[in-house]
Amino acid sequence: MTRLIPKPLIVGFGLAITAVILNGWLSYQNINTLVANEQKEANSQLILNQLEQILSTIKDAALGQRSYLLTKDNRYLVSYQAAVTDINHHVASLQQGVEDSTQQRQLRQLQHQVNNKLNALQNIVPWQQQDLSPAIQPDLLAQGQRILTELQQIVTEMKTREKNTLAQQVKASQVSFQQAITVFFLVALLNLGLLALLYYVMRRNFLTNQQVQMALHQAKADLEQRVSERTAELSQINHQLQIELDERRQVQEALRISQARFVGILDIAGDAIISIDGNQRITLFNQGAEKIFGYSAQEAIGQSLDLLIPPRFVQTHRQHINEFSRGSAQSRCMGERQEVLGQRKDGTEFPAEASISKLKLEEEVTFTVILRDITDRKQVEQMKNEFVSIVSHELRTPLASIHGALGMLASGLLKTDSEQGKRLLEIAVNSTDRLVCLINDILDIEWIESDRAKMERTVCDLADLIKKAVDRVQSLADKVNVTLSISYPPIQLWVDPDRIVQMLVNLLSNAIKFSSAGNTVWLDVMDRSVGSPQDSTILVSVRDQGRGIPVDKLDSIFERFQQVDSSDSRNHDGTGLGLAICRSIVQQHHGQIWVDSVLGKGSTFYFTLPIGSTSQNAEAIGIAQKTVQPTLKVPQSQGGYGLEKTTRPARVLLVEDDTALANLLIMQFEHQNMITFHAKTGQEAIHLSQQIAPDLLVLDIILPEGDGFAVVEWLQKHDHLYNTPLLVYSAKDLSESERNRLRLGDTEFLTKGRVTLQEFEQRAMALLHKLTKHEAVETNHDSSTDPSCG
Amino acid sequence: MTVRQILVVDNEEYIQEVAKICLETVAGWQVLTASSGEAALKIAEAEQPDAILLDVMMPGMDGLTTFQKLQENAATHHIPVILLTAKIQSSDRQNYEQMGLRATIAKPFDPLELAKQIAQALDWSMT
Repeated sequence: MTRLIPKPLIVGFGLAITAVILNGWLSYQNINTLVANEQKEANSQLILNQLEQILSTIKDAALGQRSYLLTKDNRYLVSYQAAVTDINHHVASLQQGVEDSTQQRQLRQLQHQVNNKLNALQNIVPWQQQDLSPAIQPDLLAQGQRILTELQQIVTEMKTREKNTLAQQVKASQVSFQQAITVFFLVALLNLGLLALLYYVMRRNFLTNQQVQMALHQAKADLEQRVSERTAELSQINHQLQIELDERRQVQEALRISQARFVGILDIAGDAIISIDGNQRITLFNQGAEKIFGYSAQEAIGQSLDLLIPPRFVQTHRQHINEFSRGSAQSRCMGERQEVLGQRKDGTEFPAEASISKLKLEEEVTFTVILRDITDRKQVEQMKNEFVSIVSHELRTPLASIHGALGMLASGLLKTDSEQGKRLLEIAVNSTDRLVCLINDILDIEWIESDRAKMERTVCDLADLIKKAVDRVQSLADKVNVTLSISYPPIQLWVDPDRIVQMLVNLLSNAIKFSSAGNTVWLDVMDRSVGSPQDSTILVSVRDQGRGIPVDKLDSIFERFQQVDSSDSRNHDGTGLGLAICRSIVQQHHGQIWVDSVLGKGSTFYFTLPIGSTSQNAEAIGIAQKTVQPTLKVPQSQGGYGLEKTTRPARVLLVEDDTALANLLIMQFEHQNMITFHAKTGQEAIHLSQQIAPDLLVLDIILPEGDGFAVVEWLQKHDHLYNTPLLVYSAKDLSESERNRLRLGDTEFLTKGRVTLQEFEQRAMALLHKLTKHEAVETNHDSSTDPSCG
Repeated sequence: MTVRQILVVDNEEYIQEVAKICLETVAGWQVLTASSGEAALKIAEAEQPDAILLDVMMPGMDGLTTFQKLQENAATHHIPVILLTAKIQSSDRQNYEQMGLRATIAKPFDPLELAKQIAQALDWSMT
């Protein structure tokens, strides 16, 4: 702030204030002097008055005294005494007013004379009272007179002196007064000048300030304008920035989502996606790669790519990647020259399809390999090739016969009615039939196995279907002298009748073709109704006495073109598709198909069909059977009566006349997913054994229509049954000799009431597990079926 | 001039028969037949035919194995073998040539040309 007040102004103000103070002080001094002079004048006046009074009082006292002397009247004494008192009083007052030494001395003289006079006066009075001689009176009076004169003289001197003093004082006062006035005016003038100067300075300052203020105001306005402009600009920029920020945030969010999506895609991709750096170290290993190679990403990252390549290819691979790194191509398929093989963590190798791409970012090269395990595709390709190859062969073979035979006949080199000519015609016709069958079968199976295929189901009588099928194979059977033993149960089915007939024809003609003259082929049907019709199934079996099927073929004969090779010259072979068609048809009907075979004894083909909603035929064939849904994969046991390592469920024949107990046991077996057949009598047991060749016989001893002993005896006599595992389940303890009579295959004895159902089940399962047949299996069987194609 | 003798090996009876009639009728050769590789080895050793017409896809011992056995056996090593097969994909044909087979004739074959094709492959003159 000091800067704002100019220095001269401060000095000016300082001077003005000083002048005012000085003026005040001088005035005060002058007034003081004046007052003092006034007091001195007053004092002098007072002294003069006092002196007059003293003189006057003395005169009064002298007068009073004289009067007294003359009259002797005492009253004059009173005035005399009052005058004396007054004189003393006046003298005391005068002593206070006198200041200078001269006056003090005069005053002492005066006092002295006053006292003399007073003494003189006093002396007279007692005289009078004592009657003094009148002689002395004149002396005394003269003396009094003299003193009075002296007194008057002193008073006059003092008066004169006092008057002089007074005159001097008045003069001094006047001078002092004039001086004061002069000083006052001078100082006032000075002050006025200063004030004028100050005014000038202040005005100048004010004007300057005003200009400055205006300039400042202008500047401030300008500044505000600029500030507001700048603010607007800034807010615009801010807004722009905000937008950019938002955009960036959006972009970042999008990027994050995109990245997450990318990572997700990378991860869920079925293909292996592997990145490697310039040193061929793994930097990325997705879930697909984890799955394909068996390494976790953690294990793989940082490792060399060599980890994933069979050692013998490592060098070549490195070379290829280096070449690729130098080349101009951005990406290429790997293994253009040879198949790419990958190596899993467990050391196994697999064929792969792979492509590699490179990404160069700031001199850093990243290679990305996308790799797919093509083991399955290779297998499918191989299967396809094999299929095409087989079909090609199967088509070309009959065609070759036809072409050759007809070509020869057409050439005219042979007469058609010659022996050879007739034979060639026959060959041509048969081969044509075979070709037609093959083509039909191929088309058939393609159709049935395709998703478009729909079974045209109607309610039909199984007996009718069987009749139709038998009609078609009867001539074939007659030709090779094979007896057909067929049952025709009147069971209502909800099936595609044509397909079921086709299947029955396939199975029957197959059985006939592999039978020898004089053999029998059986077709039996078992209704295995349990509970509601929806749960019911029928089991159809077609049994022959042919040579049987080797164990290792039991599964594969249902595959296409998987005939059991025939090495004899009999021309059994059909199209090789018959059983494959049967399986497809059964599957379309939600049933199952399997085969049991005893080498040298014959084969039995089984298939099940759900009865569907049309069943009113429980107990239709007079045999009480109970089943559970046959879905079990039989525990790994080899060969035997059918417990080959297939998906065929184990079959248990339960012989028990007590229905309640039987149901409990059936529940137990059901628990183990076994197919359970139930016979209530000895006769039923024998009949069912023939039909189903059970994997396990669970036998009660005391039965209606032939007891347990009779059943065992019968089975012992039959080649394909004598070795059936047996669980004897009797109410009474059996003697040693009884036990000896009750032996088939592995045989166990349990006594009712002594074992729990769980134990029972365990024993039964143990028996099933033990099933291991050691029979050599070398027979021929063919799956092709259509009699007309045989 | 002795009659040429040819062994036709095929598990298909009809092929055997047709081939036999063709070759006998067209070329006048004597034709022996075998239904399997195993039978072919025995007959070839015993009869010493001038050539063998061999099928490839046969149950049991297939044609190529049979050919190898014939080559390994000093008694049959010299007999020229011609394939008569339905398995004639290009890869197969290449394979056959490498194995040392004299020729491959595809099924179905031309009955009138069959003898000529064999004679050509073996540099036989046709009478």
